[in-house]
Amino acid sequence: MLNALLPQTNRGRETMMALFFASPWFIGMAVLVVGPFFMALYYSFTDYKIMGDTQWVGLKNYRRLIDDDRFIKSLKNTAYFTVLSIPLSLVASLGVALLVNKPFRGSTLARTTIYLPSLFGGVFVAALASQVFSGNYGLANRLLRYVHIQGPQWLASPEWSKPTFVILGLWGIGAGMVLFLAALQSVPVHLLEAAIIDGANSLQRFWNVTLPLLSPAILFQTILLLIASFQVFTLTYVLTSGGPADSTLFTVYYIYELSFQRFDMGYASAASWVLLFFTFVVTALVLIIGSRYVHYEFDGDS
Amino acid sequence: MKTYWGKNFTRRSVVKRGGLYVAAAGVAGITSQFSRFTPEARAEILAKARAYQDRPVTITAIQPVSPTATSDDYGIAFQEVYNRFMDANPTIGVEFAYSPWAEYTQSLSVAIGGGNAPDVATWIDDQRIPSLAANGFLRSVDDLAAADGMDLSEIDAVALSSNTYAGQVYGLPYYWDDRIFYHNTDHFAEAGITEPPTTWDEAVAMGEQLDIRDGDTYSRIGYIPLSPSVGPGAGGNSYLFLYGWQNGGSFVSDDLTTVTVNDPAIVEALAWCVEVSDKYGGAEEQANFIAQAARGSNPFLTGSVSMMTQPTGFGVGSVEGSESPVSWAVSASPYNTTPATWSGVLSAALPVGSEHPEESWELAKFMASPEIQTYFAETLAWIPTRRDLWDSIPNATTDPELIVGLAEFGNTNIRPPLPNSQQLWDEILRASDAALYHQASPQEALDNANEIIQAGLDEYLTTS
Repeated sequence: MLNALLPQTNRGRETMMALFFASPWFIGMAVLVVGPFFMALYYSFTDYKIMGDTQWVGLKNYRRLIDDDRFIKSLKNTAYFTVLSIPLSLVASLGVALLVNKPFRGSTLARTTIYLPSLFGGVFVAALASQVFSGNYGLANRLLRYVHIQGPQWLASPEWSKPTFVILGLWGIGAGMVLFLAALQSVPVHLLEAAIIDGANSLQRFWNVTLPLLSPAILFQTILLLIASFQVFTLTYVLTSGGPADSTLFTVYYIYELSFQRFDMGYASAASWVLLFFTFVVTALVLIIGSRYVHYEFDGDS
Repeated sequence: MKTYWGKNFTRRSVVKRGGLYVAAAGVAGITSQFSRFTPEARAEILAKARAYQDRPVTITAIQPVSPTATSDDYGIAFQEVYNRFMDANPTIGVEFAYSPWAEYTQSLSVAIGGGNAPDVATWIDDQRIPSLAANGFLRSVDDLAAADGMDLSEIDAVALSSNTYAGQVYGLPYYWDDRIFYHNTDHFAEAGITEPPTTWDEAVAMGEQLDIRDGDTYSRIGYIPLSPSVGPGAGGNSYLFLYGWQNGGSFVSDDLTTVTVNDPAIVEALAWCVEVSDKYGGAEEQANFIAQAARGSNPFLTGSVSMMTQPTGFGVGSVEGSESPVSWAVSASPYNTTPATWSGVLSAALPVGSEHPEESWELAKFMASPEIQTYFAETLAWIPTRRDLWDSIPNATTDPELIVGLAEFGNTNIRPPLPNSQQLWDEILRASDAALYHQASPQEALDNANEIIQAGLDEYLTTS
């Protein structure tokens, strides 16, 4: 009976089996991602507050956002964090990958050590950061004093709190390092040898051979970092609650405040969709602009 | 002066009392390192709790304290209360549900909205009650009280007013405190100061006498009234509410429809707080001082700050519970134009969707009963919301904190029970921070806060 329902060809059966085994993901995706995704879109046009009647309010929530100084500030803070943290993370993770790319005694240990911190979650990083960046008596300022530099107040300073978050973002460069290591290992040796024969020095080889071949990985990592930076939340939640003076009020944290402290779910949904819109637009721009500079070795036209 | 509800409070002072603050007081103020329960007593209470099984009805009670955390006196005290309740009600079981304080509102609202409401929330502060009630998360207990013949006037009217929204009562208050002024007696003796300050000016002047500086850095600060909202502050558990009231200000109109957080008296109070803060290098330098002097914890406990506002119980709990307790004494809070202090209230409330409202009501009623309020007073030094029990508080006439604290209830205020009480709290803190960090003048910061809070309030007023 069951056999009659199954495809009769091997290919068909394989497809069915593949879909069957993948079905938990499809179900989870539908229930936990796609469903809430469209529900949030619907709620963004309502005054949904969890309890009570929900009324359709049209574009009211989106109009409110335009006049909401805190929302605008949260977008600016998020943009600041994104613009600073992505290049810094890219350079740091690529730099570290270059350092440990060539095998040397202890290279495996070095790679593991650098990668290890990225396995720890945001709460762990936040707890550590609260000690390292604790005014003059945190580790950061103690170290700076050795070189006769009076460090800033880091998380307690509205001017320095965001840069501190950017520095904390470097904690996860291990993941980027792994990606770049894989890309570096796949750079064809014959191209580097040809460059050597042509008399290129190491900087020229990196700039003209290695870097172009790494460009797909750089673009991929940029997109990942971009999406992650638009969603920065944990550090704010644990360390600063958006302060001091809203200097670390990032958009996702503001959405959290609106949702679970004010119960203004409709408005929070609108904010979420605006954030998604910006994420989409910026990602698309990066893809469009990046594709002009990305070199795929075997695409035949680059 | 018009009296209100027959108590020693003006109508204005009553309507000013509102919303939350056990967010601060409940966790910062009344959390203690000092255990009042022996390990044997804890084990006995927990063993007894495990023995209650197979009750016809089991209700779930949620609170931000845990009976199994060894440092949590409140959790084990609550378990004992539930044990006593189950003894008195053989058909009802009580299941202990825990949610951390930082996520308490979120857990509660999501559970209620998701149709999985706990039966009773036994630890809700006066800031959250009006907001949760206005947003439909709590059910009024008026009908249950009426059906039961319970006389709600047995509970202090001011404490009860914090649980009242739109004329309906949403919770039964069983605990409240007020803020009093703590000073380090060793520091006072060193400086030759014999009496604590009674006014702001005296507090600042004495603070200067008590300061100790090493070059550009303070190693001891005498007094700072207000600190930034993030992290432990030298200002203690005070906030702008206290100083606004002490300067004769009012945060909202008597009819709770017009927000007045930019009242000139409150603006002046904030300007004074900023002025004192700036004298000590401003908000950032204070944060540095806290990190240095107190290693991120309360600087009064380490003897790094000489005077501080805290809720009653701070001395016997936090100070005495610290590793090297400093010597301390208490007095009424110094004020500028108006003697005033500030109370936080804890209540038991019934979420909408509770499967067993009658049984849950029995537990809420039990927690506010004379028996349990007396138990809390005896074990946790909590001040009952039933004033007729005050004479039965242990050491009420000998414990300095209780003597001052109980006397100060005549000048107490609670935050206005607005439907957007959380927003009121958030914006007051934000305005304070903006002024302390000099991102805006006190006037600008409070004007901005006033506009935002009023807009939030208007949304509720136009839809109700």
